[in-house]
Amino acid sequence: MRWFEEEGTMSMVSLEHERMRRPCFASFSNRREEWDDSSCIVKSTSNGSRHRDERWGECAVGALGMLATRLRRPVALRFARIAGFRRTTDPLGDIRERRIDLFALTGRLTLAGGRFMSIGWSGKGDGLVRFGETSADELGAVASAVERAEPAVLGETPAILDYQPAALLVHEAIGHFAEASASPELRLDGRVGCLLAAEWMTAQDDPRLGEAADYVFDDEGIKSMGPTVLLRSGRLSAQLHSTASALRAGALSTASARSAQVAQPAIPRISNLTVGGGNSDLNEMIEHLADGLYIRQLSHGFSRGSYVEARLVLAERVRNGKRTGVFVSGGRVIERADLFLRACEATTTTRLNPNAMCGKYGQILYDVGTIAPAIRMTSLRLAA
Amino acid sequence: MSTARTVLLARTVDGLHVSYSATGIIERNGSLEFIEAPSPLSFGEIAIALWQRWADRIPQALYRLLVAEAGEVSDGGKSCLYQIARIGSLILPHDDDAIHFGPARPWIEIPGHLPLILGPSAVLALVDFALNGIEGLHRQEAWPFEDRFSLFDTDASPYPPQGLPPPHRDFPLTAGGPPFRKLPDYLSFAVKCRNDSWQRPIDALHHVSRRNLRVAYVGSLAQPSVPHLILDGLMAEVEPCLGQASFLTQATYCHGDGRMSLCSSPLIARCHVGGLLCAIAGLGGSVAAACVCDPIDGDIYGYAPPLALLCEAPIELEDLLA
Repeated sequence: MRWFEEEGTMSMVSLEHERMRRPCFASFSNRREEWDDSSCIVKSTSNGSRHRDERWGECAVGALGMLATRLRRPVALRFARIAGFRRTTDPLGDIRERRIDLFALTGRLTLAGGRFMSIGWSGKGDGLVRFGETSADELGAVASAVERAEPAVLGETPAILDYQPAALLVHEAIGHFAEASASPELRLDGRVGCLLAAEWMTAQDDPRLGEAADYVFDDEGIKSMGPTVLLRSGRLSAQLHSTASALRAGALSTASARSAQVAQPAIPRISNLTVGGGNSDLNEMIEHLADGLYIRQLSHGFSRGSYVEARLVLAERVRNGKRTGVFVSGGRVIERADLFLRACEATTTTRLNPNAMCGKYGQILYDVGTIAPAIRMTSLRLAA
Repeated sequence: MSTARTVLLARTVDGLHVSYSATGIIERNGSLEFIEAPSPLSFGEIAIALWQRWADRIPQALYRLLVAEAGEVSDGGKSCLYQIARIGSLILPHDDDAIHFGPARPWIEIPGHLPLILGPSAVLALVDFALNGIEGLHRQEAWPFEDRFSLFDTDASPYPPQGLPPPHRDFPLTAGGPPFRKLPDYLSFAVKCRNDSWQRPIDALHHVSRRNLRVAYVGSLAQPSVPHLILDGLMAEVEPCLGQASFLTQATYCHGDGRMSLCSSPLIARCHVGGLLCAIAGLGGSVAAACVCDPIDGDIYGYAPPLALLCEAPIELEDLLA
């Protein structure tokens, strides 16, 4: 019998109707036992710590209030944190333990005209450091630009993906495409070798990078031996595997089995996906773009099979190699997973996507990191 | 003051293997703590028997969508035993003689231009999607279909693990919403009633402070006796809106003589959500148990009636696997 247990506390503060809810705390201790015949039991136990992080609660109330004030728009926010431990047995029966400490800030900003702008920040730690003036001002600037944006012209256009949109599309197109199937009925190992991106692009997944995801042993107790190289010469060179998916594919686990909580089975997931930088800087790329769109923010990315899609929150028109200050919004990027075959240039610098949330198979992880450069595309498809 | 809640359940998706869950939660001085619960093992055989009973009545091709579950929820001294079976989003009736499935049919063999009905789960999913597309926590915008649909936020559920025992606290979801001070503590509800998936950023997506949804329709129409198509559920593929959207769906072909054939492959439904809600013509039948199967949020139950669409309803259906 294998088991997997988790104990800790969830703390949450919310701000709605311009009113703050007092911090709430839930102490949990849950254990999942899996028997050899694939049956399992999830049960709560009373061993959990009854820790109320009052200090975090007070700080979170202050930070959330400050953020709402600086945004100067109606806002509904939830700030949640989970802190505790996970323990699991590895295939030899040894116990592996790791600490979990994750936060998520989610919500909606109401823009002029009644539209919404989603907010999603998540990742490792208590999250309080994200609530500085800079973050609020950046968010406010994006909101102001969206409010005065024109509708996007649909069709194909040359484009630059800023760091966040590049990370979002890389996550959907390369990350999810590289994940082995979570379902025993579906084999995806034929994807290995698919031409997925421009030859110069590199991509790897590494849970030990210390970014949003940060683990040595995955949720099956398998030790990560280092990065899994996902792209070689633009082709998918490996898949991200759990032990079960690896067995079906005749491969080895890549320590990619992750579960959102013990009640749910561990399935192959991205940890920290890193796309290497190029040789350009952003201003050069804008000059090289000549005419097109500088995509500043995408949201609601998803992938289905070999298609990826994301909502265009904000883009700026570029004319004659110069930013125009004319913003557009609306429509969706709809592409195939091999859209990065049209990637022709990237910045030397890379950045971590501030939103590390990823949902799949009814499981949301807060800590799926994507680190990417800004990328110039010869074309990008926008549709209604 | 403290109140304890235990949820015991056994679930099978193949009639062989069982997933058990035994959760105890106690609320003490405003904090929630997980505690030990009794063994749920006695519910395993009931779940397997329920799965087998339905497996005998549906085509083998659809076994992969068949889920059967049995369990017990005890809350504040009140206990409730339950059993539930569904094929994807289609919740099966307790009286299994009431439904007769013929062989599954590929989409290509189902006649075109049939009258279309949204089953309870599809209605719940569509309304939930539209509501999320227009509402923030503020609900300053009016629900634009108030003359047709009455919506309620409720702590009742057709699926006992996701509901609280009576007396239920319901709020009509109308413009403005209930006063803030009357809003229930959502964390407490989520921990108790989203038992298998609460441990996430609460309200990370769109269910902002909402508990369970009950949809009522103003008006009625007779059930068609001619062949028709029922969409049994809608799984959103895009962010909530009132405009163009795509959903994954499953369909049932009703021959018009009581026989039903489930479509053997999933379909993609593309529609204008606001247009589709306006194209609802009503249908007889009361509010029924419904389930939104969301690939991210998990399965959320509620109540909704089946509703017919006008023949020119703005919806396109296409075989996902074609």
